[in-house]
Amino acid sequence: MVHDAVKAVDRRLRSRTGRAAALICGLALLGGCGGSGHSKPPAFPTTGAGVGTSIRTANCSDWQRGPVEARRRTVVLLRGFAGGPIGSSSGIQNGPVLDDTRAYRVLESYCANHFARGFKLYKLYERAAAFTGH
Amino acid sequence: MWSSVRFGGSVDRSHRLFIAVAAALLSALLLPTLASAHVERASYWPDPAPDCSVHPCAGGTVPTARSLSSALSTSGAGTTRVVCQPDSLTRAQQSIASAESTGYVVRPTQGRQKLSASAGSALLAVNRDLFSRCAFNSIQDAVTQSGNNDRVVIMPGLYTEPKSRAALTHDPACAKYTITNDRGNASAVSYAYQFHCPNDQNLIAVLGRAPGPKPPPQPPLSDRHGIPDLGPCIRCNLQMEGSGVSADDVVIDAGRVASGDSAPIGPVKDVGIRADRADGFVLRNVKVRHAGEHDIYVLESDGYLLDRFKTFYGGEYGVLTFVEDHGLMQNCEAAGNGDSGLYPGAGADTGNQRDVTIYPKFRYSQEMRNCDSHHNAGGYSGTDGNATHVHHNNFYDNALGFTTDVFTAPGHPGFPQDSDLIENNNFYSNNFNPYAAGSDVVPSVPLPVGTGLWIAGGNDNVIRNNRFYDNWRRGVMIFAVPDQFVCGPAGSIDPSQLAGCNPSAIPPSTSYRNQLYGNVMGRAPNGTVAPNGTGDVATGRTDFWWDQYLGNTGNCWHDNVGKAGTAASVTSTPPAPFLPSACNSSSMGTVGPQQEPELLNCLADIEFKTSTCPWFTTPSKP
Repeated sequence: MVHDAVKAVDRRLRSRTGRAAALICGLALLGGCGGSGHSKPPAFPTTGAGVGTSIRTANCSDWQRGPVEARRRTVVLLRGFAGGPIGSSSGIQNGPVLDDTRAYRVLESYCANHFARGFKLYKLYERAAAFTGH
Repeated sequence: MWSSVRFGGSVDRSHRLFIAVAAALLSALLLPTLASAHVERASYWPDPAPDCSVHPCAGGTVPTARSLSSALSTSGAGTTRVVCQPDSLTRAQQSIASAESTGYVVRPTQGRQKLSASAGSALLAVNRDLFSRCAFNSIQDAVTQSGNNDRVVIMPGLYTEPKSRAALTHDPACAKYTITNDRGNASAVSYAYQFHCPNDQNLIAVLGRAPGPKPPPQPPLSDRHGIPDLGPCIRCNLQMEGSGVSADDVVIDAGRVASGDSAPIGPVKDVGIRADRADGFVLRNVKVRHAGEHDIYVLESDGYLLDRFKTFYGGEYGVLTFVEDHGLMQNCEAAGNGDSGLYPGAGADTGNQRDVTIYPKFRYSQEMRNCDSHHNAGGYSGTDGNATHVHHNNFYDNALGFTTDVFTAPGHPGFPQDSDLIENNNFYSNNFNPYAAGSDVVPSVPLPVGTGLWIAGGNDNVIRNNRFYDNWRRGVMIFAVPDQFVCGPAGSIDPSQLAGCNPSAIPPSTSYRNQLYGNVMGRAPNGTVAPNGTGDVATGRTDFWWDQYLGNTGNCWHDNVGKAGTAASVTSTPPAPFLPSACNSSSMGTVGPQQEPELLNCLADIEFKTSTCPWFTTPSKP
């Protein structure tokens, strides 16, 4: 069942790739970042500012207000944040992280809900990362 | 509810996109700029041994509070500084009179307590004497002038600390004290930052020690035992307390005063009271509210006592104690917080997973008792909250009464969470929906409305002799947080993106040997039947819910009784006899077919829908 669950996620991931890419491109256009005309979104940026004032405090309201490029940068920052040292007695050294594209989709999807406006992005990210393979 | 109507499965993707974009544009136009919060430093557990460079020694045990009347004595250790306002004595008189006639409230479930005439007279006499000695109108000023063993007595009144509020947040002059934390963030505020700029982040800051002679190690140490840049005690064994009848008499407000004990919070500072490296710190008989993050925040301290306090409407937590040892909070009320009311996080790892060279014997490093935590997103939170003894508390009217977890393990020393003892508490009516439109609490975390307690990735916890009732979704959830996937399942994560991974961490290290016994499920103390969930196994609306994670062993449920007062009336997912009663290795997870999808849909789905995740909709009353 675990493997089935993983496969189910991957199936969903694949089936939604096209729609998600369109969504990202659409938001990029609306966000004033310019449309490249390419079907494949550019790499997630490793420099620049993310949404909100800090990665620890950024929430879904910040995400919704932020331009697409800042959101994409936030995903990279969250990867660094979530992948930090754990200080474990079990041998685990670092926290789990998500694939950037997947992380973007999870945050897009969750933050579209009004009730999530106060959700901290890192809390959403780290929960999702923990359960990617659940 | 609201969200499922607007964004439910019947709404097509383009419509959702339009709404999302419109919402984003509207938000950008309408919402004010939020106050920016600070990046926290990497933190370390304090040395558990007492520091006897001061007398009496600081730390090594929970401090004992000194009586209020002893603050007037000229003998004994320490100097007393009295803080007051012009009307403090009048307020004290009125409060005492009211307490004698109609009573006062320490916490809601206890009811009103009356003050005897003799006790009232004695308290008034103390307050008169204190008033004659009052030399401060700012709590921070009194704290700043205090040293080891000193006391700050706060007389009745409303304290907004204007000077602290006026202090710059992210003062450029303080930027030189920022450091790189364990997440690689170079703008973390160091202890030296707090020391030199105490009101940048905090309304009131109690800095117990001088900065160490050497700067903190960069990068931070992976072993979090012992504070590497510890300086000498300068404000250890400080006692801060209100001199009123109850916590309601001394109000410390870090935000929007006009909101009273409610919302909106309108925070001015991130933290109400911060006690940092403040070994032997005592805080009692005050109310703190409206901080942007934590109303009360105790950090890297060995030995603290928080007693007879109230916290209302903090943006994140009413109380956060972090990487502490020898801590006790008691006789308290916490309500209206965006994450949790009470959060003893990352307590010293003195339980079964302890380092025996540092903690030779098993002991509980934190204790919480006689508290009411209600009307928060979560009543209690304990990310990597280790070896915490939680007893005789009430958790009610939250979305989730109690969570201890490992979701946000990075930055929280002590993974995996372990060795809590949770006994003789009431977890009931946790059906508050902060996700509904119009909620006065803005939740910062996704939690399942209608749930009494969950342990998300913990080991060796004992949950016994509690009552769980009237939680409409379910009573107790136990599930794994699977760390073996840190390297990614089936290649779906690009290994180059991983900060580190441990493919040998199989089987998972979380959700083992948790014991649940002697609990009364679905029945209030007065005998009223109030079920947890409907008993429907297909939807998991049962007293107990276990994910049956593959390979988890030693989790057991035995000698619990259900709504009919019998073991047979306990409901569970999986149903008996698949819920193990034996606490040995014969208890083994074999995968829960309904449970896994719920966790996945609510925590990790790339296309989140309230139609597939029910957590944010109030469950029907059973």
